[in-house]
Amino acid sequence: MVFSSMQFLFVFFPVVFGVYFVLPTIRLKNLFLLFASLMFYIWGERNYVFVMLASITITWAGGVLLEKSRSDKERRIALATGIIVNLLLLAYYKYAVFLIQSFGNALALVGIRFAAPENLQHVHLPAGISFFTFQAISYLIDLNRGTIKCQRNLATFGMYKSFFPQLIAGPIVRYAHIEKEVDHRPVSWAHVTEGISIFCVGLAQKILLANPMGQLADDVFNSPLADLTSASTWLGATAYDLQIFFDFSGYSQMAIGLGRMFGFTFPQNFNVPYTASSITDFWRRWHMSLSSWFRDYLYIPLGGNRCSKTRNFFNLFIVFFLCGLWHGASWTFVIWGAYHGLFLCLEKAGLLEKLNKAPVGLSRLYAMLVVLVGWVFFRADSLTYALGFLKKMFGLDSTPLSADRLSLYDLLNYERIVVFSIALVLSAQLYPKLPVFQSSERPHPLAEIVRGVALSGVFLLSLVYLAGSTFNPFIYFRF
Amino acid sequence: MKRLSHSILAVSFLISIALGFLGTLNQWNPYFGPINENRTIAGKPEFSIKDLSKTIAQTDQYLADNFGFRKFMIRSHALIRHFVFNAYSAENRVLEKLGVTE
Repeated sequence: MVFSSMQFLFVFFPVVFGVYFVLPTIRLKNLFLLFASLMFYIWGERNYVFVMLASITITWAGGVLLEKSRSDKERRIALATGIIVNLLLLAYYKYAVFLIQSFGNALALVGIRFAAPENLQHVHLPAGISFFTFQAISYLIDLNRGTIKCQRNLATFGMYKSFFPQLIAGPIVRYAHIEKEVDHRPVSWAHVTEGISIFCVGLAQKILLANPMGQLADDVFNSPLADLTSASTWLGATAYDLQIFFDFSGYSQMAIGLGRMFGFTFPQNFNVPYTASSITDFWRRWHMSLSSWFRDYLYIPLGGNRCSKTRNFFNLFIVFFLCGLWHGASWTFVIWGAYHGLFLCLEKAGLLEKLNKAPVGLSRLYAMLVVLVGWVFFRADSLTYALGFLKKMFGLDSTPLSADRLSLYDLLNYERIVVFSIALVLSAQLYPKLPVFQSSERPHPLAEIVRGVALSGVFLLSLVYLAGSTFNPFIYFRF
Repeated sequence: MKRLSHSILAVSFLISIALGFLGTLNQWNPYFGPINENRTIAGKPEFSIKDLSKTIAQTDQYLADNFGFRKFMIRSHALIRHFVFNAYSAENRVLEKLGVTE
């Protein structure tokens, strides 16, 4: 079940929201949220709920053992066991097929034929496994570092890990973020209204902007390379650039809004990333809960930047190589991660200094171009297609176009031009800083009424578009 | 921070969601124009304790096709697209080129 579906909006959410506010105590509310979250997961993933339950139980038991252990050795064993078992679950469900296929392809290069065992040819990927595995690891490491207290109640811990707003596509909510709110959280009308506002903005991003941009991107990326002109590849890549931002940012906003309605404060996941002036800056603004996770649990333990320059480059490269792999079990994702790692290394080596001295427009253009090219690897079904697509983009492909070539005229219509323009302006904050866009401590009541009515209109429009459209895939569900 | 705009949106949101819920339960489906459905709408699910997975899938499909005010919203969607973008549900120049017939 996705948030932007009628099943969620007209059935699941009203029931959960209604019952939650009727229950008198936090303990009952937590138990009910655990039950609702498990139902939410079972609805989409059926028996794979057992994978999540296994991860919950192992992590909870690891936490309790960590707290009870008397020596460093016992602590290390409890920590390592908890992390390794969680990583093994992730490795099997997400990477087993990829690793075996890559191994088979490598053997084929030296003339050895290798057939993968039948049970490893297709392994179902349980939704959200990458997210809840990272939650588990951060919980155990934070517990070992002494920055959080152990949650001894299995049901409460299960509620934290399976909480449906952040379960499937993040943001990656660490236990430290909501430790206090798990047992004591205020539930007020102010929280509910704030949460609804955030949720509606996310829903509109997803339905009104990401979906139409997704259709446009699909029209381009699903076409054979011979049909694509240089202009259509630029249009397709930009449409995908907008789709992935509004899709993922929209989902994160919906998750943050839902969390707020139930009294939780989730971390922000995006901060206008397409206004970044370097790739270093981009990663401070894009999927912040993931980048900060990699920083705190991998980059810094590896030595971070408090080491030699060579070692620092190595650390950065490893982090982004794994970041790419986290996004998907495919070489296109690995190359996307390594590509970002390479630019981060170049910026560390001196490019960043030059970018800081360059005009803002120029540095932003550089960052947008690097990100855009990166998304081609991310979106393309194969490495060959991605490279061919990039050749077309930069006019390096001299093969003649087919008779069915896709021109801008074929791809664009009035509706798409309007949505594309709105998405572009909103994503890069290209609008003037008018007072109506600024939040102030004491807004004028009339402005507030206009704003409230406008937001309600956008919400109703999202509902109408959702009902009228059957095209509704979420990009981040495959992670 | 308590904001008037948030409260206005919250009230419209909660009313819409409550109406949607009640409409789905009671099958309220008013409409003000014809809807040409090009496929068969999912029927009520058959409950089977032995095959819960199938029951869930059928229920999901049933709810996706039979939510409250569906026809009203589909018609509104078509009208908004027509009056704002001069677009028609049956017209699709781009997809035709890609091989999908009109």
